[in-house]
Amino acid sequence: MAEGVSIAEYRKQLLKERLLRIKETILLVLRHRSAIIGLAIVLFYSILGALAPVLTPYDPVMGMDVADAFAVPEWVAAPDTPRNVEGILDNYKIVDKSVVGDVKVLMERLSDGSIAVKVSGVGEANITIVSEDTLYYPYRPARSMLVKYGFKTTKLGKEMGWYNIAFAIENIDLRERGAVLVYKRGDRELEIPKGLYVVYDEVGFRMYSPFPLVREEKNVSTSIRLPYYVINAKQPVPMPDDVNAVSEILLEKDTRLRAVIYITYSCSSTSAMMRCSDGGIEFLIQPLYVKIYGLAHGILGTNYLGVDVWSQFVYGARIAVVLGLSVALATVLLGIVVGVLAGYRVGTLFDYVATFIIDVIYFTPLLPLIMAVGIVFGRRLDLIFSVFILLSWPGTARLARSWSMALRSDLYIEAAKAVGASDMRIVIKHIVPQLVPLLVYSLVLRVPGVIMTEAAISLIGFGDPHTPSWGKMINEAFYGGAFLQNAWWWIMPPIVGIVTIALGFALLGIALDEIVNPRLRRR
Amino acid sequence: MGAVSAYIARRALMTFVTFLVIISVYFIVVRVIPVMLAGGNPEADPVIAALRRTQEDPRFSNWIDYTIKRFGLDKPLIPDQYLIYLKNILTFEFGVSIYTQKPVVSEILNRLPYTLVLYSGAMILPIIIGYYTGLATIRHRGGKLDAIMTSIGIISYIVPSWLILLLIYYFLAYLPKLYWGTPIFPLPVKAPSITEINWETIKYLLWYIAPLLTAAVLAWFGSWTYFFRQIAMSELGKDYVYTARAKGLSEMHVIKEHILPNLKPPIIMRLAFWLPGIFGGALIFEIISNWPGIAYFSYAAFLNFDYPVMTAFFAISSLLLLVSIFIADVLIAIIDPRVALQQR
Repeated sequence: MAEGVSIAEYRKQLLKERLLRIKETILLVLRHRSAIIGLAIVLFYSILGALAPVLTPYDPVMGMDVADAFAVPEWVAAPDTPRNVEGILDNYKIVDKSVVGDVKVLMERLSDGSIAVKVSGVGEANITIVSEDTLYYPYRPARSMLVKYGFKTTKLGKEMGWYNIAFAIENIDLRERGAVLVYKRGDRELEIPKGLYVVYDEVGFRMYSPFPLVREEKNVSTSIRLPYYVINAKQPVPMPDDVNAVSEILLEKDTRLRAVIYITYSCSSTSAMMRCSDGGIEFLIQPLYVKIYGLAHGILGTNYLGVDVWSQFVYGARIAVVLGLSVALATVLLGIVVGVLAGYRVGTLFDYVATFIIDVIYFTPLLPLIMAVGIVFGRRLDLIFSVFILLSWPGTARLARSWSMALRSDLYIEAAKAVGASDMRIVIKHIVPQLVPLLVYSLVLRVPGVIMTEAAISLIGFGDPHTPSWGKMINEAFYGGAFLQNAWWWIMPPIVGIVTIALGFALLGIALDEIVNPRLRRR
Repeated sequence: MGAVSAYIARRALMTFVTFLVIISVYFIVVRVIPVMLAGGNPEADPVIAALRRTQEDPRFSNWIDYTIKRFGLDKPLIPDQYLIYLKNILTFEFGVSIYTQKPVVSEILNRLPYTLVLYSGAMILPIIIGYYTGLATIRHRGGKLDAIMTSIGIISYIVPSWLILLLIYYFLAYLPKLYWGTPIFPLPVKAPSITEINWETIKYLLWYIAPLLTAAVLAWFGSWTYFFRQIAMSELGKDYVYTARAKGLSEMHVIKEHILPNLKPPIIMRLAFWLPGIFGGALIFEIISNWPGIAYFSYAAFLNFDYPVMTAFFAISSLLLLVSIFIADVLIAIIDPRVALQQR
C-alpha cells in the first residue's frame, strides 16, 4: 500500500480498477460478431417479455374464444375472411299478434334495456317480437357464433297461464329472398329454408313434455355456442346433424341479422288437460347478444380454443427469459459453491460426500423423477424446477471442483493461509472471484438447456398447466390438432422462439468461451 | 490383470451402491414425503390414495386388500415397507399392474424389445454417421465441408432431438398427408405391434421407426462429427503421426491405422457420458410417437398413478443407465489399463 493513502481511498481505487476491467471485458465481448447477434436476440426476447402486458390485451391461458378456433393471422386473411362481429339486438317491437278470445298483450321497455311483456286473460295468443336493431354481416360465412339470452316469467294475478317462449336468430335478407339449402347425403335429399335458427325453445327443446305448453315460473340467463348439433333436429324444419347451421343456414355475405322472439299463450277453462280459469304471465326478456366468431385474428391468429397465439408467444418469451436465467443461475451457483468447497477441501469427508452425491445425481433419470413428482405433488412450476436444479448442478460442480483444486496450491493462497485467513475467507475472497468468468460462461451456456428441458417436460404433458410457456404451446399444438389442420401460425412461433432464444444464448456463450477461457488458462 | 479386475470390482460395488441410493430417493420422494407432509397420516400415502380411487370400479375392489397385503401397505413406511420395497426391486419382483392386472415384469418384458431397438438404433446410428463425416472433415480440414459441419455441430447443440422429430412429423408426415393424400413417414398414430414375424410387420416397423431414427441422427451426428474431428485433430500434431507420415504412409492409412486406435478410450468415455441424454430423448420419442416401448407404457402408468409400473420403470431406467456406464467403464479399463491404474 502506498504511503499516505487511506484504506477507504485504496478500496475506492480498487473498485475503480475493477469497474474498468468489467468495461474492458464488455467491450471485448462486443467485438465478437456472434456475441452481438446473440445479445441482440436475448435482448429482443427480454424486451418482448417485459412489455407483454402492453403488447397484448389478452390472457394467454384463460383468454379463450377471442375469435374462432384456428383463426388465421390478420395479415394473411383475405378482405372477406370473417372477423368478429358482435352486437346487442335491441329495440323490440311486436310485429305479429294473433289473439283468440279475451287476451290483453302489453309490451313496455324497461330502463335496463330489457322488455316486459304482460299477457293476461282467457283465450289464446301467438306473439312474434323482433328486434329493430339489426347486425350487418359483411364477410363470408363464419363457422360459429355465440348467443346470449335471458328471460324471466312470473305469475300475474291468481293463476299462471300456459305458455311457450322461443328465441331465434333470423337473417332478414335470406328470408326475404326465400333462399334454400339443398342437402344431399347419399340417397337423402332435403330442402332446408335458410335464414332462421331457433336458439332456445322452452317446450320444443325438452326431451319429453306431456303438454304442448308449460306453466312454471322460470328464470333463465345463459348463452349458447352455435352451431349446436343437438338442436338441429328440433328446428321448425328439422335439419340433419351434420349441417353447420351458422355457416350454411344463417350467414351470408352482406346480410342482416335480427332477433326473433315467439311467445305462445293459452288459458282456457274448457281445455281438459291444461285447465286455466284466469291467468296472466309477465315475461321479462333481456335483449339478445350475438357474437359471430371471426376466422382472422390479431398478429398470430388463435389456437384450438380460440386463445390469442401472439399473447401466448409474448408471455412465453417472458417465461423463457426469466425462468431460463433464474434456473440456470441457481444451478450454476449451487454447482460452484459445492464444487469450490469440495475442490478446496479435496480429500476430506466433505469432498467424498459431495463427489458421491454428484455421481448419484448424475445417474438419476431426470424425466421419470419429474414425472413422479408431478403426479404425486401436482404439476407445479416451482416443483418441476426445484427437481431440475437439484438434478443438474453436478456438471458445473465438477468443473468448479477441478478449477478450485488447481487454484488451491497457488502461491497467493498459500500467502493468505500464512497470514491466517480462514478457509471461508480464502474461498470467498480469493477463489470465487477467479471463477466469475466461469460462472458467467456456464450460466449463459446452461440457459438453452433449461428452456429446452422445460419445453420437453411440457410437451409430454407434465408441465405446469397455468404457465403460458412455449413448451405448453408446443404441447397444445401437437395434441390439439395443429398438425392435422396445418395451423402453421400456431406451431411455428413457439418452435422458432425456443430455437432462436437458445441460439442467442449459445452464440453469446461461444463468444464468452473464446474470451474467458484464454484468460483462465493464462493464469 | 489384477489391478484391472480390482478396479472393475470397485466400480461394480459403486454402481450397486448408487443404484440403492437412487431407488431410496425415489421411495422417499413418492411415499415418505407425502405422508410426512400430511403429518404422518398413512392414508396420505399416494399408493393407498390411488388404490382407494380404484375402489369404485367393481373390477378392482377385490384387488385392494390383496395389494395392500402384498406390498405390506398396512405396515409402517420405514423400515418395514422400505425393506420390502428394496427386496422387491433387487429381486425384480415388481408386483401386478393396478390397471392391466398383469405382472409388471411380463408387461415390461413384452415392451422391452421395442425400447431396445429404438434405444440402440438412436445410439449407434449417429455415431457411425458422425464417424464417417468426422473422417471426411479431417481429410478436408479447413474446407467448405469442415465449416458446414462445425455449424451443424452448434445447431445440434441447440436443437433437441424431440423438436427435430416434431418438425419431421410436421413436414414429412402431416403436410404431405394433407396436401398429397399420402404421408412420406407414417403419422404417429397406429403403432406397430409384432405378433408374428413376417415381412409385412417388419416393413411397417421399419417405416414407423424411420422418422425416429432420422431425428436421432440429425440431432446427434453433428456433435459426434465435431467430437471425432476435435480428438483426431489433437492427435494429428503428435510425433508418432509424423513418423507414420515420414514412412510414406497415405493420409487415410495414418488416420485409420495409427490415430483411431488411440481414440477408443475417449470415444467410449464420451459415449458413456452421452447416454443419459439419449435416454431422455428416447423416452420423449416414445411418448410423442406412441412407440410401444416401456416409456410409453409407463407414461400411461404415471398418469394413472399405477405405482408398481412407475416403480419398475424408474428402477429399470436408472439401472439401464448405470449398467451402460458400467460397461463403458469396464471397456475403457480393458482397452486402456492406465485408467484403472491411475485411479489407485
